[in-house]
Amino acid sequence: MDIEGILRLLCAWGVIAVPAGTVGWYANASGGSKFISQVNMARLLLLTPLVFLAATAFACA
Amino acid sequence: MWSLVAGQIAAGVLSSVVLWKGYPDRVRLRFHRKEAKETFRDSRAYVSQAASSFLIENGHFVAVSAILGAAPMALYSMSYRLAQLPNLALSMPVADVALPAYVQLREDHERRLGVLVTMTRHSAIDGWTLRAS
Repeated sequence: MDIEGILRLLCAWGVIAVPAGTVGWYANASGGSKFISQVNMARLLLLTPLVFLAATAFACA
Repeated sequence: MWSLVAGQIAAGVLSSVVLWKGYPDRVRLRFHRKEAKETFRDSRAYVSQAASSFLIENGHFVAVSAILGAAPMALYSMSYRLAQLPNLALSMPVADVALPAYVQLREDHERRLGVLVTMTRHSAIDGWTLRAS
């Protein structure tokens, strides 16, 4: 992927991250910490191998 | 590197002193086993989500530095911080205000939802504007 594509991806992610953050604070303050924690654990299980795979793919490229 | 560590510690100590000085009631350091137990029980879910969020936010740095090395890690870290800048500039101050506001309105569901909509709208619009510029 060229640099423009990577920057577009980062911007798209950043745009989503802001509203996701505000909803996260709302859930935290409304007693939803346990639910967020469970979602985070699922994200961790999914993302950790993917991040290592992506780094390995860049190392091999 | 140690200057960064010292900066973080100094910022933490300074903010603690300012908060301690600014709070009208004097807080004395004492240990209460019962309260500590209750606090641990009540905050377990929050600490768990904070810890898992920390791992999600920093796990990719571990992967990049472990597999690609120090120089790519420096470039990656700087790019990531630049992409994150609007979030960091907006989210942190807003979060400091949002959490107490939500907790204060815990019983008032309608007003709490109103605050959520307002904060989401403002932080999203400001974030998008900063990103576009």
